[in-house]
Amino acid sequence: MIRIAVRSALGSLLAAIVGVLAVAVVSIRWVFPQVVPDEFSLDLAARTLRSPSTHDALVSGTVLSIAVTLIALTLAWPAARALARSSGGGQGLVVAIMFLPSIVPSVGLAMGISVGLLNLGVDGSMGAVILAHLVPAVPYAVAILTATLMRYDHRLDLQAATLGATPLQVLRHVTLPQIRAGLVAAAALTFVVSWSQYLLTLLAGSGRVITPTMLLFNATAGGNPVVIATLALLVTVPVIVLVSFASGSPENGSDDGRVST
Amino acid sequence: MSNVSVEGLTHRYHPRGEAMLEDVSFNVPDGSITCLLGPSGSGKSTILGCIAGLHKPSAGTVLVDGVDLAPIPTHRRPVTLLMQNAQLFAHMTVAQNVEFGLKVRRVSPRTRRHRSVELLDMVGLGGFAGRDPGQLSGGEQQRVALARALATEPAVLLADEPLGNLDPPVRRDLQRQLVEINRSTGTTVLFVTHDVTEALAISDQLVVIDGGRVQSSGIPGELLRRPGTRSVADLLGVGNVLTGRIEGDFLDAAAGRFRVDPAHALPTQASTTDGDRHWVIHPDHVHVVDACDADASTPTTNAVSGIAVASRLIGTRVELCVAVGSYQLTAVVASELCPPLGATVTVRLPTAQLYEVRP
Repeated sequence: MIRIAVRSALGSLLAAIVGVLAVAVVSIRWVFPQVVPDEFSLDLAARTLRSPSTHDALVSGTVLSIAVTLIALTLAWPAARALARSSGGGQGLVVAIMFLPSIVPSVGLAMGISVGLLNLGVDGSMGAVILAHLVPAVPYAVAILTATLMRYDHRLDLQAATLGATPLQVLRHVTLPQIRAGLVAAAALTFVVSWSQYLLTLLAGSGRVITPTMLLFNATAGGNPVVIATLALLVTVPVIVLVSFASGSPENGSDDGRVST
Repeated sequence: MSNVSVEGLTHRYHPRGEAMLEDVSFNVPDGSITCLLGPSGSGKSTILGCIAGLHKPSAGTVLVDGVDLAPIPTHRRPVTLLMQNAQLFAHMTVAQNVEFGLKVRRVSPRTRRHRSVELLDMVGLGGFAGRDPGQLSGGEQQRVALARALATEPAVLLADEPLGNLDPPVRRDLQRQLVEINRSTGTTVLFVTHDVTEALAISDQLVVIDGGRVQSSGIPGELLRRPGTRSVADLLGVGNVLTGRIEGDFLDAAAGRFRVDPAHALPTQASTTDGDRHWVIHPDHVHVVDACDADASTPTTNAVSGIAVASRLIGTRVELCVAVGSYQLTAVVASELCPPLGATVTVRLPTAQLYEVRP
């Protein structure tokens, strides 16, 4: 009941934000204290979306976040498996330690990573930004996958192996389908973490890797409100869609609630 | 048809830790059902894990048809494991579950389908192919798991207490079905259970495990008569252990003086430090003379009198406790012939059924 109430409240809040942004996108000359804008037009928003810089940022942002998601999940998988199967407890502590870099103020973290990449001579490239994004992204992937795998009955894997499945077949035919919900949640949130990074992208990419989030921050410094609203929608909508998708996935990571023995 | 030979199997989870299994050796004959019987934590499931390749033994070998399984990875071993919980894959239908082992071996879809239909018919689930596992009862799930385990025609079926979670009628039905399948397919079965009744109902051979060691093994009927050790006697429910000194052909025990057959004594000296020896007799073989024996009027050798102090109904028979002095003997008698509690009864312990056990 509480969960439904919280979800409803958050949903209403997000709907209000998106609603205001949507109105702002089509508003021409909307100044205080006018309740409604003088006129409505999609021209500027359309031009903003069609511009080469937006297109390039969208492509590079998407490629960047997908790459970060895939790498983060790949790195997180063995760690999560080890944590989930360890019998000594303390998994929460290990995950908390992994989150420590995220507690540091983002400027400090971004500067530190940037200096490190500079020393390695790899700053300013897409690879450098991917490396930088992995720092905040991997802990989320590990945390979600660990929680998912802790609920997963790994005897299913053993059962599949005794039926003749190779380790790869076990992963493909049994484990991954069974933990699909947790995997989707981990992927969605990892994507969102990468998608919404500004400082890390700016410093690690030395301003050469442009994402929609960076365009938005640049536009807020004296840009047109319609352009800002359009870019804000461009940044926000994927986040809302992915978070909704992830939180709407079945609760049980193993998806095997149907089996009663 | 395949045989399994386990030789000197020892397993420790940690190199310097306590041994879960210690020098375990036994044979599973071709096409038999062999039960590993023992209390919880005795190491039965660990033995299956070592055979299936889920545990790496610290020492010893497992041979199937003479082939050492040690270098063979789990998925290539000629065995399948039936677990206590059916462990069906919830994202697959019943038929897909049954076909799983064939699919990962890249058997053609047509052959797979044919085999799953055949196996589901065999376990009595002919119309269940398209259902989700979650729609099935516990017994039906275990039947599907059995069909799935047999689909690849394993040399040996390892069953780890697969009926442990089922209601008694379903359990009996599946026991019968398992024996039928074993007889019709010739699949060798190694079945783990802690339930003596179940082990006696289905097994051709019993291997009693306790404390990670083989305590005794043999044909069930023979093992019930001659359990070998006192702990095995207790485990098998051979509750009548008579302790005393041997004088000539007689055992002087608290319950009385009984003639014993020297041929039933253990070959090696099995007395305790105070010279006492232990002899057992199964409750089925203790005759309640007054109640059921045609020769009741002439109880002779090995007959003692006592008072019926407790009874427990087991199906159509009654387990009767008779207090003979400070000792309680247990006998099994037909319910209609059971004397009332408090009655004085004479029980006879046939010499032919008394066997010595180790302390």
